[in-house]
Amino acid sequence: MSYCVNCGVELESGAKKCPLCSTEIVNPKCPPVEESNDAFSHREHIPTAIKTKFVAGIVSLVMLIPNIVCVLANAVLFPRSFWSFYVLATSFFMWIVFVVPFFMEKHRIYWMWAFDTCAAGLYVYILMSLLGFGGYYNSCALPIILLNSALVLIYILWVRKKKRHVLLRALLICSDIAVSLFVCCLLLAVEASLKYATEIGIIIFACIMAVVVFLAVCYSSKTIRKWLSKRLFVN
Amino acid sequence: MKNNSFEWFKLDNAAKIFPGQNSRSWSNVFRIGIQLKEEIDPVVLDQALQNTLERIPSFDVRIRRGLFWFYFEKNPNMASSEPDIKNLCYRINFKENKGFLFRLYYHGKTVSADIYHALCDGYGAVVFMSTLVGEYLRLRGHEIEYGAMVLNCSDEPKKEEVEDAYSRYADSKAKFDRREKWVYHAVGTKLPTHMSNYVVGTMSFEAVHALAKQYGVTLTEFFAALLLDIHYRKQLREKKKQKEVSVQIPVNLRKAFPSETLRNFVLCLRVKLDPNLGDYTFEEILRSVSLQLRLANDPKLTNALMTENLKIERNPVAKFMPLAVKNLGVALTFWITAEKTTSTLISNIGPVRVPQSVAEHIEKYLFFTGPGKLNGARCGVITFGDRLCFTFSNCYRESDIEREFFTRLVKMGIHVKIESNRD
Repeated sequence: MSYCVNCGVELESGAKKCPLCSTEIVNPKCPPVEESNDAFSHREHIPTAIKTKFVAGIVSLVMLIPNIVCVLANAVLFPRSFWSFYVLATSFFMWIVFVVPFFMEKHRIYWMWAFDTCAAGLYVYILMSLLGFGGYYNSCALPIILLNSALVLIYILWVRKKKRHVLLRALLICSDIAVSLFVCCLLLAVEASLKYATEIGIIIFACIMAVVVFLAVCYSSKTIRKWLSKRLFVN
Repeated sequence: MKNNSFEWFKLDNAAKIFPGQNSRSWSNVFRIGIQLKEEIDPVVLDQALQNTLERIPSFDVRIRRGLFWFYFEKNPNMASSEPDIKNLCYRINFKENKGFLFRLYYHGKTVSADIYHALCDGYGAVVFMSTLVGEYLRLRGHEIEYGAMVLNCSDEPKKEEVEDAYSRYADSKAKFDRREKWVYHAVGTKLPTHMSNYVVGTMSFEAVHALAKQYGVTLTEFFAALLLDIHYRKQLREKKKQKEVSVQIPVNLRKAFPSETLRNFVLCLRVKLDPNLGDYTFEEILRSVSLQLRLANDPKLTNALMTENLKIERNPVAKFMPLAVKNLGVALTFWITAEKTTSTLISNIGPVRVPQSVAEHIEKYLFFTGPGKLNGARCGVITFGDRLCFTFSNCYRESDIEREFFTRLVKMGIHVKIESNRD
C-alpha cells in the first residue's frame, strides 16, 4: 500500500499520483501500474446529442407548409397581388440564417457568412421592390449590407485568430449593430426623406452605445472580468 | 398480471420538481453502489433485476407527460445492466435507456445504479439495491434470509411502499418562512458537460463515531461542521466581503413519520454560519451546527415545511396550469436560484442493515450524491459494518475542499483510504 506524503491518506495500490494533491507516488515496493484504478471503470459514456440534421429537416418541412398555403391562397383568392412574396422571402431568409447551419457536418463559418450576406441582400431587395422603394436599393440598402458583411468578416477573422474575452466580443458586436442601425436610419432620412428617421437613429445609437460603454467598463476592470468569467463559465 | 394496481401513479411532492429541472446537461441523479466479495455475473444480475422490479414496482416505470402533471407509468420494456462507466451520474433523458429512470452498472465486484431522484430517496434506493443484491445472491445459489433492507422478491408489492407519504402526513396549520439568503460558493474551473470528479474516502465507522462522540455531536453534525469550517475558512482567504456559508442536509422523515414508502420522503434542512458575526473556532462551529440541526429537526417544524411544500402543489392556479407552463416556471426558477442558498450538501444515509447471510457477501456500500449545478464538492455518506464511505462529487476540476477535508480527518487520527476517478 502507498500513502501520500503530502495529504497522509492511503492510496490505491499501484496509484501513480495522489488524486487529492497530484503528488507523484514513489514506492519501490508498489510500483505504479497502468489502469491501476479498480474502484472506478475507465469507460466513458458521453450521451449522444440531438440529431441536428433530422431536427433541421423537420423544421424545414414545418416552415414549408405555411408558405405553400400562402402561395396557393394568393394565387387562387387574390391573383392580382403578390403579398405571399413577403412570407416567402421572410421564411427563406430565416431558413438560410437559422436552419441551414444545422445541416452542415462541421461549422463552415465562411460559407455561412457568404450565404447570410446573399440572403440578406436578396431579402431586402424583394422587400424594397414590393414596397416600391426599389430605386433606393443600390444607393442605400446594398452599401449598408456590404459594409456590415465586411465588418462581420473582419470580426470573424479577429476572433478566430486569437481567443478573445466574451465581453470584448459582445462589445464589438454591439458597436457594429449601433453603427449599422445609425447609418441605416441616416440613409433612410437622406435618400427616402423619411420623417424622424435621424432622431430614431440617434436614440437607437445612444441606447446601444450605453450598453457598449457598460461592457467596456466591465472589460477594463480585472475583478469584474474575473467574476464574470467564473459566473458564466467563459473566458 | 402481478402489479395491476401499479399501472400508473402520480409523482410524489418532492419528485414533482425534478422533471422541470432536467436539462440536456444536468439531472438530479445519485448513485448507490454495492461491492461484493465475488465477481458480478451480468446474466444473473439481469435476472435478479427483473425479479426485483416485480417486487418494487415504483422502479419499473417510465415518466409520461399528462396535461397538468407528469406521471409514472409501468414500463413495458425490459431493464438490463451494462458495464460501468467513468462519468457516473450523468444526466437522465426520459427517452433513453428504454424509458427507465435508473441505470444499472456492473464493474468487477461492484454493482451500482444511477438513480433519478424523482423515483426515490437514498433510503428507497438502498432498499432497492439491497433487495437486488439479495436476489442476485439467491440466484447464485446462496442461502439468504430476508429482513431489514432486503425484501423478498417472491412477496407481493405493498401499496404502502409506493405511497406519497408527504400528502399523508402534511397537516400543519403553522406558516413556515422559507426565505433564504444567497450564500458563498466555492466555485472553480468547470469540467466538460457530463463529466464530474468523484473521490471516495473509506474509513472506520467506529473511529469516526468515537471522534464525533468526543465532541458530543452526531456523525452528520460532525461532518457538516467540518465542511462548514472548510468553506468558511476558504471564503476568508478569498474574499473581503463575507457571505453566509450554508450546508444543506437531507433528513429522512421516516424516523419521525412512520411510513413504509420507498419513494421520496426527505426534507432538506440547512445549517448556516455568518462570518460577519465574528471569528469562529471549529469547536464553536460544531456547537452551532449541532444546536441548529437539533432545533430544525423537530417533527412539528418539518411538518410545517412539508405542508408549505404541498401548498404549492395544492394551489388551484398551479394545479390547473398546463404542464408546459409549469415546467417553464420550474426551469426558470431553478436557473435563477439553483443552489444559490446552499454552499454545499451532505447526505448521510446512515448505517445499512441487512441480514447476516447477505452481509457476509458484501464488502461495502457506496453512495454518490451526483454533481451539483453550482455547488462544488457535494458529499454522500453511507456506513456498512465498520466501513464508512465518504464520497465527494464535484463538477469542478479543483480538489482543494476534498483534500482539506480528508487531511483534517487524518490529522485528527482517522485512517482514510482514497479512491477516485480523477486522471
